[in-house]
Amino acid sequence: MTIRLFLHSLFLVLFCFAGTAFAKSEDIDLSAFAQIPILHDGRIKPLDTFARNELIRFSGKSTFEGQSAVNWLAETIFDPVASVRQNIFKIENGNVRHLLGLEERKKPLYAFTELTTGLEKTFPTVEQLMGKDAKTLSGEQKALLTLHENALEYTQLLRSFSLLLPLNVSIPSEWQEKLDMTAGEPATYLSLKKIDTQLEQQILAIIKKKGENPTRYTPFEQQTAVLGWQIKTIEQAAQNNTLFRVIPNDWDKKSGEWIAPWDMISSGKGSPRSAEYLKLWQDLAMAWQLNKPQEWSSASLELSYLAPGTLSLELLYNQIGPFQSALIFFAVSFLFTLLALSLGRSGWLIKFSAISMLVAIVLQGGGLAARIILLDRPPVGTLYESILFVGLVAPLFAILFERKLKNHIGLLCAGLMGTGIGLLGLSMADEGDTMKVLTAVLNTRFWLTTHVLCITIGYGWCLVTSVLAHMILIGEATGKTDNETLKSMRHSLGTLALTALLFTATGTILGGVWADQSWGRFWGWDPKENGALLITLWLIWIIHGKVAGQISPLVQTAGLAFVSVIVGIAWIGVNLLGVGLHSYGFIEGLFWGLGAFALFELMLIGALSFRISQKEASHETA
Amino acid sequence: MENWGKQSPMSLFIPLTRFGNRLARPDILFWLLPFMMALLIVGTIAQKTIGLYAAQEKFFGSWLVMIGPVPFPGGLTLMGIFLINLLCKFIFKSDWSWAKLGTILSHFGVIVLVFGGVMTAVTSKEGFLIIPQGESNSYVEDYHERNLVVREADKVLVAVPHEQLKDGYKIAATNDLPFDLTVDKYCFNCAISRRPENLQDGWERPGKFMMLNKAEADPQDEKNMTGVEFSVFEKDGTKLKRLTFDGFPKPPVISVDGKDYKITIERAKRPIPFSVSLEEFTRTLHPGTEMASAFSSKIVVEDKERNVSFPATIEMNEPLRYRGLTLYQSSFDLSGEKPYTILTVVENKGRIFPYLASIIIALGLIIHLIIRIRNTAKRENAAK
Repeated sequence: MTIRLFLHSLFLVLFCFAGTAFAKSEDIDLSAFAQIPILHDGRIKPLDTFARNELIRFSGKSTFEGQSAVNWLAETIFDPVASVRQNIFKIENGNVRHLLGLEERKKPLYAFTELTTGLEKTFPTVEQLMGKDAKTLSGEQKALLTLHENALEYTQLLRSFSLLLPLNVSIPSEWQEKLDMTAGEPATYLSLKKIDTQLEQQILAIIKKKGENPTRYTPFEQQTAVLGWQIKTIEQAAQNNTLFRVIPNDWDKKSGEWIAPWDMISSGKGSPRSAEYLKLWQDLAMAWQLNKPQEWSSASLELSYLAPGTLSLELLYNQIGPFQSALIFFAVSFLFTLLALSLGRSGWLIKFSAISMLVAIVLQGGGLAARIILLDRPPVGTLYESILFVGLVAPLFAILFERKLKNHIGLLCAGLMGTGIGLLGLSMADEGDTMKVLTAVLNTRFWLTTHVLCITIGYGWCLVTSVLAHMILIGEATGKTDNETLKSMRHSLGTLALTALLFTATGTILGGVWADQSWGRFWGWDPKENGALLITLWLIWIIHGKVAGQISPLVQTAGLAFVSVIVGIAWIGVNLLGVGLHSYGFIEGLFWGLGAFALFELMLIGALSFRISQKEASHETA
Repeated sequence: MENWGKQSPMSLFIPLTRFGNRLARPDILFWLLPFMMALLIVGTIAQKTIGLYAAQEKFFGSWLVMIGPVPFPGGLTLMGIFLINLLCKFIFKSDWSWAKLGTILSHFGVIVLVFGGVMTAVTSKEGFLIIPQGESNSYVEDYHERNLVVREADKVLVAVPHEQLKDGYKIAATNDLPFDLTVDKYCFNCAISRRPENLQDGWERPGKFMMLNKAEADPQDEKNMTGVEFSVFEKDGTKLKRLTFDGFPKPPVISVDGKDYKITIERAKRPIPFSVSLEEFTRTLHPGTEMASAFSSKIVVEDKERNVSFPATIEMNEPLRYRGLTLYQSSFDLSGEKPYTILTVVENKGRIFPYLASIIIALGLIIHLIIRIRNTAKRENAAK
């Protein structure tokens, strides 16, 4: 079992490899390195994205002690001895920390060197847990399992280039001659591989002659035996190391398969061109270890030539972080509109707010456009993506109504929604890679663009409806909005509700049509379908209740305000039902977050409605 | 309408209209919808524990459901009331004017949708075809229904549906069947374990070392492995203990007077009017992962009744439709020597309705919105 190798790999890293002698100079330029392509999770991405995702996976953050993720990655693969001492493993679960015998820290971040003993100790437990159904595991068990998986991934990363890093071994002079090595030149696994067979034969001869007790060996024989053992150990530890797929498998055909360095050596898949490419990686490793900025730059530049054009777009996307930036502008716009409204319309405040909104929408839209180009599909394949998309359309719809209402309420709604949905998206981005390839059933452009776009646009309209209903309730309860404005807002609310119904109802049925296309049944009562139906039924209920005179205008407005909660349940909440392994902590957070949101809305809408009905009653008596 | 009593043909309609008007009342819908939403929420949450199939049967495919000690109208009851209410509203209370065109259309669309649902519920049949690469099959197996079958050569002597099976169930000997059979242990979903030594008496291999245990039913119905442990009493009084289960490669055979009787658990099968042979099954992976990006089955349909034969490719989201049946790529098995494809086969006479309904409803709502916005604009212009 590979997990068993934690202590082993630590030992390997600390004793077999030579650490760098120098502090890394500031002159090392990582920009070309960041752009080198790697195949990971089914997609060619720049090392920058890979590094960020791995670092987020281990530590929850995309930077390490103020350094960029690629910097951390370079250190991990080229200087594992330094990397294993970095505190990058975030262990939030107190029981797991206790189980591993870790000291308590202000920030629960630990280095691999600190974890190995505990990982080794808890391995039998983990082995049992792996056989169980993920749904039956407790939060602590899942956290432990995730930590083990992360540590395993990390050891793979550490050993990615163990075949071409200088080894901390002493090579007897007889062997040095056979290797054509000049004194002082570092030995690597790859260079020692040439004498592998001879070495093995010699060791067998020694054992045959003198038995297995090394005390009876001559110093040369001892050194030979140790050397042989080291080569075997490194080789065994690197079995199945397929994480770092940076070498194209077949250069001419576009099969899309890339292989990791170890995979290339052990399976013999390489070609002369691959060998050349690997040599460049070796140059890169040496440049890092010996701190040679020029060599580093030329090797990394040459390696990055393979990158397809879209990778520079992805790099730009990573650097800008369009959705995080948009969130800031949405928030600024919201605050300035709020300020303007409470101060009684100040011209430049609104102008500033409108500009912020424009920037936010451009960023959000640009980010989505980049994702469409990078992933080559509509931007609504996952829950996270649907949040990004609603984060664009909901503010846009609110702006449409601003144009009609012209009282800045639309702008306020847009800012509020942009901020709220942006925060929701941000909490999901912690999960690591957000640009995922899709499973076969989702891998259809046609249905993603018809059903999913339609239903997410429906969510967007629902949210605009809800926010406008809130504004009406607040306006009525505080008495700060004049009757004429309220009347026009109420009319808009009706139109909005109908539009929301149009998109959610059509989207829901289209979902059924898709299901009919792929599974042969129109309606299967699965949670996603039921969630969409719930929104549709709720909207039908409120709209018909008003038409039939069953509910007062106040109850109707309150009911439409509550659509936010219904959308929350249908859109986000149904995902709580399929509890996955990796998202446990996240799902739990989502559950309480959604619960708190529903409670908050219930109290807010209840209180506002109560206030309004009291006011109406006092009006009547007066 | 003062002298309506004299117009005899109309007089028949008036109570009908009155009755219809009552059934069309909007408050029925108003009180119905919360029940529907409650049922929808409870039925969805229940799936987490009892699985999709069971939840669907219990909450949505039933007339009455007990939620704890409280009886609650089931999906069929609620949908029934909904359809009657909507139909009456549509027939008796629609405002047949151009201004209401949108409303009329969208209501009609919902009727089409619900009608399609009823058609589907009544007529649809679902099953699956398992085809090894290079072979063909024309029998659809049911996802849910299983039978205990006793065969002599190719002749089916007994077939007992799984709903009837229980511990102690007896099949008596007949002219064709020379022995009595008693089910000792029945499990809809069996887990296999090693038979403890003290319970091995009277057993032969493989049952001597293999025991069936009752396990909880899997939410995915096709994953349940149905099986029985049974005793056979031959005419001379000898008692034999045997076991058999769904997919058992070596089902027990009882030999009496030179005839072999094979006892199996089988999925209920029905023939389709053509045969399907699998030329090749391919699974494409996202490079460097174990995650599939596409599945496809290259097949040849051979219809002897119509004397046609044609090749086709079935992929995810790309089913094959032929002679009222739709064949979908639903699963596969690559674990053995030969790849197998598993195609879901659905026969549904109501499948066109949702397509129509979605168009009608969307059109209705769009027209309704346009009329509403135009009216507003007109009012605003008039006010100016």
